Amino acid sequence: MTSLDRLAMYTEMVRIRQYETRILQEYHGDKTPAWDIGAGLIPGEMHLSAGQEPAAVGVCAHLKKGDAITAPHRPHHFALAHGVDMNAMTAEIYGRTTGLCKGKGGHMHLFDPENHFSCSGIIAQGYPVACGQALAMKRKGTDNVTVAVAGEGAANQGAFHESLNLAAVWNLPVIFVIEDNDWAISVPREASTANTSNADRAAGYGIPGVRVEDNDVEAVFEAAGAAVDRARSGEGPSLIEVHTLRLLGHFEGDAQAYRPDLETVDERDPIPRYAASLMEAGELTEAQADDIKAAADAEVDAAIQFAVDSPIPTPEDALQHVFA
Amino acid sequence: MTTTENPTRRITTAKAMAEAIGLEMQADPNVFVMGEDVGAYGGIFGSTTDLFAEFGADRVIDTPISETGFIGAGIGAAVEGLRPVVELMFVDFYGVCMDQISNHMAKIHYESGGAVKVPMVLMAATGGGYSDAAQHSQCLWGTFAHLPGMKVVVPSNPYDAKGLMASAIQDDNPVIYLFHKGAQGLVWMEKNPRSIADVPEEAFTVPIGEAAIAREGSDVSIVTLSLSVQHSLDVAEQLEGEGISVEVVDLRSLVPLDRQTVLESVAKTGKLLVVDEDYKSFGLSGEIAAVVAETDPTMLTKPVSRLAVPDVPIPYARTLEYAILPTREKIAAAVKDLMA
Amino acid sequence: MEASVTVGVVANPASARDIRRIVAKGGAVTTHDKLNRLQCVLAGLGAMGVERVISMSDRSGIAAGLQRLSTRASSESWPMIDFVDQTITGTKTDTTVATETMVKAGVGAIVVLGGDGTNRVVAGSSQDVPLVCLSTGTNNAFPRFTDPTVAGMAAGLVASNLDCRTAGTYRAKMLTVEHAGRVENAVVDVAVTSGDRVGSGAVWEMDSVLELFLCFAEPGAIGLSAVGAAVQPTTRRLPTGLNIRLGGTGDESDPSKPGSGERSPEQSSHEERVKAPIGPGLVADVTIKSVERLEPDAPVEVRSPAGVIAVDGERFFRFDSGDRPVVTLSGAGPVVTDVPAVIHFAATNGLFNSPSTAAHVANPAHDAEPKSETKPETRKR
Repeated sequence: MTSLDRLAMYTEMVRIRQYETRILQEYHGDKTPAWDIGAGLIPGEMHLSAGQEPAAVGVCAHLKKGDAITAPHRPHHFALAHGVDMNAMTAEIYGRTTGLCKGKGGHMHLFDPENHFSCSGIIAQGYPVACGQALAMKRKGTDNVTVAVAGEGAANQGAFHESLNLAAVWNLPVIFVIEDNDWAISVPREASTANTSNADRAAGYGIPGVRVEDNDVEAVFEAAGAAVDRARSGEGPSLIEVHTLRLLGHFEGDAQAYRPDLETVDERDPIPRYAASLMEAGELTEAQADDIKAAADAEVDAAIQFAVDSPIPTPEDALQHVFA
Repeated sequence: MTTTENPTRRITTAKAMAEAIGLEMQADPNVFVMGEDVGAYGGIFGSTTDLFAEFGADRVIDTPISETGFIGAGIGAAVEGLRPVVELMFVDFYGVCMDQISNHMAKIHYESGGAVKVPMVLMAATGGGYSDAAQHSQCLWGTFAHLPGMKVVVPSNPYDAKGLMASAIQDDNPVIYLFHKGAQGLVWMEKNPRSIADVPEEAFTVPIGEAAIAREGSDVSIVTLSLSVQHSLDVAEQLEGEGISVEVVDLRSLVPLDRQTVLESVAKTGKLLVVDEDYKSFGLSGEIAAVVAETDPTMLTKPVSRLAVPDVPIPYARTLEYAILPTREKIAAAVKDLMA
Repeated sequence: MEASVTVGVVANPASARDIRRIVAKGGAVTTHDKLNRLQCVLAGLGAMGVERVISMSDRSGIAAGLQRLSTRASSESWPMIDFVDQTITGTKTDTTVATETMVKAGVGAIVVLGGDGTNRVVAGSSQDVPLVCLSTGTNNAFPRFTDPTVAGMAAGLVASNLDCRTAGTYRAKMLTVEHAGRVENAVVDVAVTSGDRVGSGAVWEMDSVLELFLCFAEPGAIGLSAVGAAVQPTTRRLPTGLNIRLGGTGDESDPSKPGSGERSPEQSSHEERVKAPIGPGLVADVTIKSVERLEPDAPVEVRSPAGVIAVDGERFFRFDSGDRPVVTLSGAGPVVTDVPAVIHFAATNGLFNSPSTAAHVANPAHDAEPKSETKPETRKR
């Protein structure tokens, strides 16, 4: 890991954070009435990933052209870190014809075949699909890999277990990523899960399982690097569980009354912490940090503008694309 | 074995399916098969007979008993440009993997605004008549047809089985291919002689979405599919001797539904009997009746007659099961009622 | 409440989970394995008459599992279990807070389930309380292989019987590394590595290790201390340690590069190359530049001008300017239990003879009896 890697990861985390901060603002900005999540320019549920950037950035730093990701309902950080076009993604979130899915998918169903990126609103169900993508890569003889992402709550789904078994028995180039943000909506993992370590569960399938405890992008980077190398070289699947942080509610509108750790959430924010560590090491200055943020803001501004200026689908479009 | 002078020979529906898959695998390296016991066993209902010997474990893949896992894997492979033919052993097992089928396989193309294609065949055995009871005897095609995004193909004979399978594999959409166990021509199950028929050796297709007039007639239209086509043809032959001319429409696919052929037949006969081995309410038989009613109910000289499973789970004991299945006797009686 | 024999248990939920599962063949010690071993410990403690256990709290299912299990009939012989009422952070702090609470509550022993890293953290706060160390980590040089039931019995004996304690415990060595106001302790090794970041923590690339300070280097151990064991075995009871300068490795542990471990002709004569098992499945070919005895209480400056300090196999902090870190060996480590020695003593002194149990033998090991005001620090579940 070079200083450039670290700066690039910091920059990407800031880019994602600035994006979501702005989406959050725009999402709530024009809701009339304010409680109606279906109102406004960005309608529907909104699941933001703020605080979980290290998981996406540390993993995606190792991915190359042709590598695939299946993300869950909280997908923005993985999408952006994997190179999904910010304009097209934003237009999709705004439900516009220029969006990734022409306004048919929305924020939980982003599809970008060029980057082999997809997500599903049904948790853990991207895992089997990722296995199939990995099977295809293996059959085609490439050294591409697939990353399957889910939260710790999703690891109680059968799809999670079926996929781990399938990937192990077929030796598929998959990296299973579990983002453990402590909360399955409102239920803490120890209340729902007999074996709370998914590294253990991976071991049960003969898959190396690693748990990265401290939401540190460099620790994720190292673990993911080892897992991606392993997959590319035909050694098979690995699982990385990142103990990460949900800075916001499960969805926008979640008051989080169930959550006793809210007071300390901000001090655990991984981005300022990483900035401080890079500054202490002399690898980042305040001025640079300001520039990185400003560049991110400019890109985000342009993406929002692109979305807002884009055409709204016509009612007739609803009947298109059922079949190819 | 292949001779140019005699390019057809009599084979079973099961063999016809397997042959179509094999020919597509020869033509396109992206085609592969996976499912439970599709390898050395050749598919519990013969749908992959001999493919393992020809193509090996790399392209005819036995899966764990893990339908969510391997159907999802089929979707992932299809998304990446392969053309998987995936077998769900009994359609009744849909309950353990319906999320992959309905929320993923069927919706990805639409959700992605047409950006992603899922060229995949999901084949499954359907139907009862051999005392396999409530969890291994259903048809359920109406359930799949109700959910948007998948084509639903239901062959009734060896020729269609081969041609529809070829079309299904070549289709860029997910296709549910439902074959009736009783129409496979299996040696270990009672079968109608129509399950073994002349089929060309070479590759050919039967288009998806075109119904067939399995038998022309002028008095009554039986609109049906799958094994019930064989039964209806038997009944039509029998009633011919009694002076009743029965037309049998084999739908061959539910999605897309060939409404035109149905309407033309009913316009000709003025009488419609829908025979369906699926559950009666909220399903195919009601849909066919609605097609006629929405278009021109005056073409009917008698109210629509529906013969389908009367909204009960499929029972075990033979007397019980045959009490609810659309048998030849019940079909004949229903036709006679319409003629009365 | 009456004075009773109390023992603390610290089971690190995070041990045996790091990157060495992928980069080496680190095994899994699952939460359920840990719970299972804890049940053995509790049976051993109960059999020796221990009445109360104070357990660390966690959110990984160990405390929740113990609570669930303790309601079952099969747990009748266990001591009563209280859980430390602590804010769970999911970090080392949890272990420290738990240990401090147990020490304040006057426990007679602490049973530690973890690897070298866990023991290092517990040792930071255990003061004079004897530790009974059970291995559930990746590299385990500090805890020896011990059966958990026997360990529970030994902990019960040490906690309740001063003679057992005298016969079967000793104070371990410790390394202290100091730099720019920062102080870290190690129970096995301090390594100076050439990397520039802490990253995932674990150390597995011997190429990056420049220098080693070892409390002990026992044959049979795995990890960085195995390098010392390969050149100059040094027991844990000896007062001195080792200071080794390294010169990188060959690639012998990589089977894809056969022959790479051959002795190079340019190698200077005073250098030595040894094979050492530095991690699960990783046998490194290490170049030794020098081996020096590390005397107790004599501070030694690290030789490299820059690098990352790793403590018990885990990277901790970077230094690159100003003063170099200073490492000191001392005899001021934690009090550790030699389980076979305790069992031997107990057997030869009739402590296992029925109906007598350890609780009936006088002399609680600790002077301070559990005070009632310590109660608010724990909560009964």
